[in-house]
Amino acid sequence: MDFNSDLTRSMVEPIILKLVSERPMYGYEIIKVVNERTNNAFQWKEGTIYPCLHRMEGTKVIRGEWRDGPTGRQRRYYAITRKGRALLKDKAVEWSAFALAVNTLLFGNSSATGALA
Amino acid sequence: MENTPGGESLPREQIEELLDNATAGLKDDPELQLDVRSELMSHLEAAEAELRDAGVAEDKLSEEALKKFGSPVELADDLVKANRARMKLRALARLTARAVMVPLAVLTAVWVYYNSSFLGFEFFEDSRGISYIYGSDNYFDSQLSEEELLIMHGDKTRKKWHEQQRAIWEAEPENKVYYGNYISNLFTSGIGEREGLTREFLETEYYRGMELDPDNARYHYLLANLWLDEACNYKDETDYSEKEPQAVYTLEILDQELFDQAVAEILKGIAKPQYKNYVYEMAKLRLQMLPPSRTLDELAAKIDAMAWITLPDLSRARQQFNIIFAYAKQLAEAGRKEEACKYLEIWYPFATQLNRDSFTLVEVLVASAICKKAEEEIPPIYIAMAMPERAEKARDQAHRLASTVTAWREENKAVRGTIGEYLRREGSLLTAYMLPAIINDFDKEDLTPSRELEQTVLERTMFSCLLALFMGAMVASILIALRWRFSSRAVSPMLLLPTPPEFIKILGLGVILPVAVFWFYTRVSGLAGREFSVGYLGLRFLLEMILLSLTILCLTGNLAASRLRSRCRDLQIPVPEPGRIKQRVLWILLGASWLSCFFLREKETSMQVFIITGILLGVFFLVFYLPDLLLHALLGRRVFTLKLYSSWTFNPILMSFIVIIASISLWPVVGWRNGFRQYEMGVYLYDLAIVLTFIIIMVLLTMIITSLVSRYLLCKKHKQLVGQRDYASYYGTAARSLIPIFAGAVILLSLLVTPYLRNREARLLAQDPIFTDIEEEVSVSNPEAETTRELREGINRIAAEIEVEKQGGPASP
Repeated sequence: MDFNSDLTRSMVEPIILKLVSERPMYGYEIIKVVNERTNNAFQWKEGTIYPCLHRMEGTKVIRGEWRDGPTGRQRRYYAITRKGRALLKDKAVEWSAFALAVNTLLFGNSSATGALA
Repeated sequence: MENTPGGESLPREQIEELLDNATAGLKDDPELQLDVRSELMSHLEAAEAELRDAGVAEDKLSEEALKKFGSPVELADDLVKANRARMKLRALARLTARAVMVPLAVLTAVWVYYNSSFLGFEFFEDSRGISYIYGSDNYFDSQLSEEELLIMHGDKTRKKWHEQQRAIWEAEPENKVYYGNYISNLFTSGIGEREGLTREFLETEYYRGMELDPDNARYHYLLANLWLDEACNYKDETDYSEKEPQAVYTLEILDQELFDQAVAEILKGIAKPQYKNYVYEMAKLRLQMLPPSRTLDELAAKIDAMAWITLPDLSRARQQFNIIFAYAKQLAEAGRKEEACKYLEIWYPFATQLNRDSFTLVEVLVASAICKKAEEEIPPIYIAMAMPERAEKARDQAHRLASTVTAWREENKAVRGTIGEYLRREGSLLTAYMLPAIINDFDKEDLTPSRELEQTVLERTMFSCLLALFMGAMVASILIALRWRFSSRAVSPMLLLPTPPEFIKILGLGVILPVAVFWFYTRVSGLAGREFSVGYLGLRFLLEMILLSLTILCLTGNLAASRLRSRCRDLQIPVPEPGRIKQRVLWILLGASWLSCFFLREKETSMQVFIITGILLGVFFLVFYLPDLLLHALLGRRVFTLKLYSSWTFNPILMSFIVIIASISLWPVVGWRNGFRQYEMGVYLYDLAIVLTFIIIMVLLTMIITSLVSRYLLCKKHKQLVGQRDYASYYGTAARSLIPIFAGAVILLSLLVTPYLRNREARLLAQDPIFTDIEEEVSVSNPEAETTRELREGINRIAAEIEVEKQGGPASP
């Protein structure tokens, strides 16, 4: 399923924050994990993740660092910062409230899954 | 990028094009552009590897990977937008490093060097050290007003010294002190100084003195001395080489009338209430204009000014009384008893007059010497005239007046032989030079401030040298970066700035940690031998300072290089393997040298260790380490491999060649420097420091250049052993990126260490009980002032007792 680009763009940052909060990851790895966990529901153009990562690094929510990757090749790994964790927490709460509000409006109750079923 | 694993199957041109297009907007920040490029490249390689694992055909790999990657044009826009703020910040940081840090480092280094103590160099010139401080009486000139400058030096536009001094009096014609100072300077020897000083001229000047200062005996004595020079011929033929010399002299009167006039002037002089040469008053006036000493250089300049105070009357006074004694003897032999008795009594009022006015030890000693001579020579004359009571009385008075100094000399005799050696070992150079003739009893603790003061000055000087080393490293880095700036063989050198935490780590571990450890070692540990003088263990202290300088420079350089190496790897810039063996040898040598220092407590051993360590470290640094590093950086290649080392570096022919060329190059410099020493210019000390610095630089440069040339020739001869990889980009970038780090080290050292050392110097100077500011005492040192005061007062007390006896009072015990 193709999602509206405006909808996905606003969620890229929280998704990246969530993933790098689990462990430091490099750009390609992030895309791979997103695809795996969403069953390829998100079809990101791979190159587009880098501007986002750089922007987030600029705002100091993540920190990039060159390290040796699993194949021996150097990779730029990104890790979440303290500021990033705080932001992730805020975003998660915000999304939760937003999803609840949208579900309530669209389906009359708070369970999207039930409505879709 | 050819060494990147897994990149072979992607069409290179296509990838390069994509990466160029994607990062085109970042070209103003080459480091960021390379960084992003590397990141994108690693992404494409990972994508390709995964596609291969998924069974995609090799010829489709690149196409698929690029398709998944997306449009480079859109990406380029997004990358610029995402990095805009960061690029601005980074541009500002680079501008700060280039336009602020580097000039600031140069300015602070110049400031520190300008304010550094050249006395530090002097310590190693000669263990007497301070004896070479000449002619620095203009040290404070910049701090004085026009009026003060006139009083300090006189009118320097005038040709002769005494004319310059006359100008001070001319500005205030009623001032007796200024006139006395002018008269003292009439006796200055120098080219052309004595021209025009005719008898008539001097008579006029002395008569003016009598008119201006009618209670002062001085001008009568000077006039008498002037006339005696013409009126008689006195020859002292005593053999002073004998253990107890017997006075042998002849007096031939050439002009009896003039001689009688001279003697009459002496009689007028002894009738005056006082004798004053005003040297003390003038010296005090001048020293009070000078600011309090905050550095040893300033104190030394003041001591120098004191040391140059002339006491022209003293030699004249002794000569005058030799003549008077000889004349009285002649009169006695001629049976003219009454006249003889009159002249035999002159010594007493003169000696007491001179003693009352004295403020230096030498003046008191001359006054006492006159008494001693009177004790030996007058009684036999009275006895020859059959006047034994008078003989006994004169002997008694003279003996009692001389007894104060005699007792002091006896008291000093016990320590005089050993005190000099002791002070040289545990005192300071200043105390060892100034005190052995004066001191008879002192508190050991009193020597500490002066000793530590000189150690601090040495540290300050060596820190200036360390800054110079860093500045040299900066210049070398600039030259290497420029070497590759316009080269087609390398990417233009980038400025890779460390992040603030990295910067703090490099300077913290490279600069602050060694300085802190050194501080603990020298101030707290008790292992640093700081209870010994700079003149005694100076070579050890110098070696430690050299080791500290090398440790700081190498540690900072290595930490920075290690960080740059890693960063260049991130950016896919080919990096040579570090020379691990040389690094290990370096740290082993430095560590062993430090260890060898710790327990040195003997001057001779200190010298041996200094020479051995100096040769080892010097040869290693100047023949191997530095030339290798420079050659690699300038050629952009790994030039010397281990194989080449083992085949050629230890070749005795090459080593002999280097040593011979270095020695030949140094010969004229040493010769010139020796010639310089014999030529005493005005500010000798500074000239000497400049020459020494020049020699050190010449030694370093000669060894480096000789090694460089010989190794370059060797390298050309053995091309097959020279590394083939091109590391020009790395060396250029590393050199350029090291500049702000060295600049940071210079600023940190200047702001951290120099103020601490200057404050410590000022504090120790204030604590020093031996050389406190001499403006209060008008003396070279407190012990001298104290000794002079005690002796003078002792003689005055006895003179007062004699006066009471003369007026019929009680006899002295």
